Amino acid sequence: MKQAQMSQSAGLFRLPRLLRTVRPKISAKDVVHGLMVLPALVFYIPLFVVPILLGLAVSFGDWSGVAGALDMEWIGAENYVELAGDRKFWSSLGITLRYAAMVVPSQLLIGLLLAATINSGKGMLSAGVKVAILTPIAMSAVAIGILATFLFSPQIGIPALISNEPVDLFAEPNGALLGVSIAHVWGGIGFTTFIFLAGLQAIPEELYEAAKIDGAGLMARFRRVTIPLLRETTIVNLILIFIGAFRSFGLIYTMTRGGPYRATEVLSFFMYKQAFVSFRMSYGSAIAVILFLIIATITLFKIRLTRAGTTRYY
Amino acid sequence: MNDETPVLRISRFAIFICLLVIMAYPIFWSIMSSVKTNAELVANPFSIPREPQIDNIVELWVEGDFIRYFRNTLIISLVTVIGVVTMSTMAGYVFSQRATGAYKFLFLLFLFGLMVPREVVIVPVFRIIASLGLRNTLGGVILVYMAGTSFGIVLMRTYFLSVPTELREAALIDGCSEFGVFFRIYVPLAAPAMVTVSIFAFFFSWNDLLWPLILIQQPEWFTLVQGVLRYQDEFTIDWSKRSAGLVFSILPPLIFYLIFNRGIQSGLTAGAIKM
Repeated sequence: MKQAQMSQSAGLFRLPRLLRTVRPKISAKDVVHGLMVLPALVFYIPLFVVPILLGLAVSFGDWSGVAGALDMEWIGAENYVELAGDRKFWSSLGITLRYAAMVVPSQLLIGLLLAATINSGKGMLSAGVKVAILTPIAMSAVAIGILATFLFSPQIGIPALISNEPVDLFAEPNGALLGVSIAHVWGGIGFTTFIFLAGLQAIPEELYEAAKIDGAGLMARFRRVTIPLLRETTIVNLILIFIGAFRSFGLIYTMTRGGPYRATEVLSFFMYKQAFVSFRMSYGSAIAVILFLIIATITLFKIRLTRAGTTRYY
Repeated sequence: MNDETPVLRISRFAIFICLLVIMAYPIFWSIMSSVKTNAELVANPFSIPREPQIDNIVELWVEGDFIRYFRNTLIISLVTVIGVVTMSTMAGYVFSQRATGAYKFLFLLFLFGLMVPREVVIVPVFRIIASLGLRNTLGGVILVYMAGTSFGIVLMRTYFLSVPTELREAALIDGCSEFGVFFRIYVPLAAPAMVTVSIFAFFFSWNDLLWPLILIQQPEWFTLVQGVLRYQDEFTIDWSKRSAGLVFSILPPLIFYLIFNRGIQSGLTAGAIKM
């Protein structure tokens, strides 16, 4: 019956033969599949996809915190023009880059060395270390930040242990940024190490055997086999660490609130302050869009680099 | 690699011990600090507590505020975990069975979600939640967390793709319906992946700062993370009380971490490399 009705209507709007033959028939399976995807979409579309577009739109308007939901005034690129001339924005970008410059190389290098060390060791101790370094993944940035604040405090922290006149790291601009960076690396090192470990385990054992037969020592094997074959893993890690550092918010909020004298006011914190403390929501959105563009560029870069490098050595 | 010199073995041992100290000691230290009196903590911050006491901890749980934060966070996490794991499993299954047309587009849309920093959406989402009248409610935060299914869907899909199709065909021949195949064959097989997704959803919803910070301003509805931050501002000189709050806010996820360590380790790299 259903078939007959469908072919009748097809008579009115005659479709090309090819399209007619592939006309979809809705089966019970299609309905089940549709219903199974639906719940995820019900939340994801209105609370993530639509907001991305709205966020972009808002950055071209004037949306203060108190106005109603939709009465936004379009002001074109004014927010971006203002941003380009905002000294606070540029200094904030500079702080973010300095923060990344401290976090990225240290986390990458330490992670690589730890992964190589853990990979070469076996037994209980090695397994225990794997559990220990990943612990911060269960902790909030706030908890990590508070722990670091305690341990760096001149009252009860390490400074009190090593000196009678303990220094307050967070009273100095550079010290504060360094303190947050250390906490950041402590929190992220496990993740980095695990990605390196996965990369190391993907290197075929035969390559090491072959290198050994050719007379390569331990260091030579690390330099000539491990490092080149880890190229792709390193790029993935580099970019993940960079994005992590670039978006750091919880640690800054907990440890310094951007201080002293705005010395640790990274981009995401600057954005939060503009949007939710000064209630300049449109201006905040413009900062977020810039943040997104930087991250998207790096991500695309990563996709290109890793695609180009695949299967090169095999 | 059997050409290891003793020097190499010893330095590896040394690195391992240093690591264990650096990673585990701060947590151990905060637990020690929470059972010292504040006076003892300030006098001897790094010693073993001479007279361990639990006054701080008792006070914490009796006063009422902390219990409220704990309850709020527990509700948010419980609902989020159940919702996210259910939705991700169902959607991940469908995307593992279908990779064309609208389904392909939708899957890519979820994948895209992993690349977009949430900073872009916080202003619009804040306005949407506010216009629904859900500011200062747990429901508002839960709604936002329910949208975070991208990671779960990608992980579940990858897992389902590894299930041999013979199982599915056999069940269909035996007269199983499509939903039956999913529910009776695929779901039991996917239990480890579902545990991984649940754990990550739990960690995220338990530990997140940004959304509660923006959506909840009334202390009554604070989450644990907000509560602990509030203690930092209010009890500036009572270090030991702050330690106690900190310890009990990190304990539940830490316990889960230790129990489900294997699943977390594998899920972590699977998720990262697929990204």
